[in-house]
Amino acid sequence: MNNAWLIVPVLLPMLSAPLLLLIRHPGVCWLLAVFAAAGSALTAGPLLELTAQQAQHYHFGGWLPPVGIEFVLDAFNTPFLILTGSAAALSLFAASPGVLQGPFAGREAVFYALFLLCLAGLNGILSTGDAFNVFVFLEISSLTTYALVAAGPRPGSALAAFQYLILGTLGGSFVLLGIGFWLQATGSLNMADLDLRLDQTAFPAMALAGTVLLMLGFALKAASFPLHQWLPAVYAAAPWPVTAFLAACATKIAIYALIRLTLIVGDMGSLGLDVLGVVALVGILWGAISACTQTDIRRLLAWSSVSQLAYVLFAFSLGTAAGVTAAFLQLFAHASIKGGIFLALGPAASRRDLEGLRGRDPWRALLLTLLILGLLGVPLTAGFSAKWALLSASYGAGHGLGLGVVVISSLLAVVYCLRLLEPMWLAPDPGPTPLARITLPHILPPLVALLAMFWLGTHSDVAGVGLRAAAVFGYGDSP
Amino acid sequence: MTALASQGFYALLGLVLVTGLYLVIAQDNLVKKLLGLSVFQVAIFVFYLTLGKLFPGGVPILQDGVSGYSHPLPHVLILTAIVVGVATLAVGLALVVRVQEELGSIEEDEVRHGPHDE
Repeated sequence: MNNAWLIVPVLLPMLSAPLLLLIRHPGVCWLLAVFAAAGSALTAGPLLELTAQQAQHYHFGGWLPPVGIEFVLDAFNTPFLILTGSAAALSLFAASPGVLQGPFAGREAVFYALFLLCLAGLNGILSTGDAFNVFVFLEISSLTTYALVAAGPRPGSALAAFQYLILGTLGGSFVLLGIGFWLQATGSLNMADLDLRLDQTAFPAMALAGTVLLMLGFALKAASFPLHQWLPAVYAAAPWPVTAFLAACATKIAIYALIRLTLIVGDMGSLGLDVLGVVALVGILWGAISACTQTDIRRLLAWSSVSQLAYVLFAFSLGTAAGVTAAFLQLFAHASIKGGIFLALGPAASRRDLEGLRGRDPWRALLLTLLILGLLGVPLTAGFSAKWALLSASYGAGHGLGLGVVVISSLLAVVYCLRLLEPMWLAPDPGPTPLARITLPHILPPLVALLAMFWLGTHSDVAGVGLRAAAVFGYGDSP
Repeated sequence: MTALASQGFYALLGLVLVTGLYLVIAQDNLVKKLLGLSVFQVAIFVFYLTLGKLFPGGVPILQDGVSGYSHPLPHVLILTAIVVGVATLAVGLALVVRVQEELGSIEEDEVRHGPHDE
């Protein structure tokens, strides 16, 4: 019953972080950090098989829930553990000593330690079966993210991090308040126990208030429309390996927590789902339109993330097994594509950095182009299979409006993707720029992301992972 | 009487909560924003503390002649949340120092030309 492997993805990065502060040597710390992150992903690999059949539990100190705190891994959260670990390993690999500029230049050990703590926090949110634990891990990951964002090389990164801190803390506080309402209504904090008790509570209004507050808090953390304002500034200001990591997983884990707490544990009801769906559809369009008007390429990509993450929420809001599968495909497709794009961009930030990239830096141009084609949703890429699943899921649910919005936003995606491709392939070389040629070690992380994108796009067993996750929601094999 | 008093108390807490939120939104000074954030959080902490209080209910330590005890769990939970709040405040203040060093001001309307949206 007590499977101790469950705590490794959290403990490994969490215990490695202070070790790095003792070692201090940048090269050694870098290697250790990469291994710790990769290790957490590798541990989750075998767990994926195990949890596909049955949820695995670890009870801390042998105390049984609902009194004790437990970690629960099931078919819904285990795939995310692989995502966070591998995204962190790739981003850390890219952030080798010497890459960092700004406050952490020369103090790389602190940077890697913060990065690992952030990973530990995200893995904790995924693993825990206790509602209050979610808040604690959420704040661990958020606090470290503020510091990592402030490490950006451009002046103003501290301001972006500060504004993120204000909104992030408000979000975290709403989560805390929501959990308090649930505790008041049910007297429990264990998720499985809450699931039962929230249905039978004598104070349904209080439980509903808690659910709404939790939705609000996690939506803020997930930068889902209309609470997305902090995202473009943060993506533009953070050091590029951090942006890649945030784009690949941070907001997605907040979406996971949103869905886990308000859809599986709590019950937002069909009205709540409809509202979520409509808001997500507006977000899809708003993000895509805003992306088309940006000049800074990182901001453009950030707005595209707002749009792409809204796809995920829309897919969940369909409330069918096909919807959950589509949401899963979209989450992993977007993680590999957007994370890969930021890793391939490196320190590039403006259009001028991309001009004439074809002749100046052909490898970077090729990687970026293939990844951007994935963002467009070209067949064989994960972007295509995700969009296809989403379209067929909304068709299956009879959601004509959603079908239309997804098609329109895909056309808008062509506009903003062309804004990225055009300077690379058509614009003349503007002469020397600060963006150096991509070196062999830096090709590796985006290349792995690219391969993951094609693998996800061409293997149908990925959809099986999504279907098994749908079983956690209690959805049957509806069309 | 207690029901009325507790309703008044919750209304007061709501007022403190909204005051904090108002400060975060309305103040231009970054330090004052952080203060508002703290006020906002403190309202939530006190809310948690009220969850554990029972009437009649004493300190949750086993002793003779006492039958009702307050629920200790919310207190323990909020101890954690207070630590998180202190850490957030510390990180926030450190960021304010960096903003002052980089942009020469901690008034939001004066540093608005930095890299952020709208």
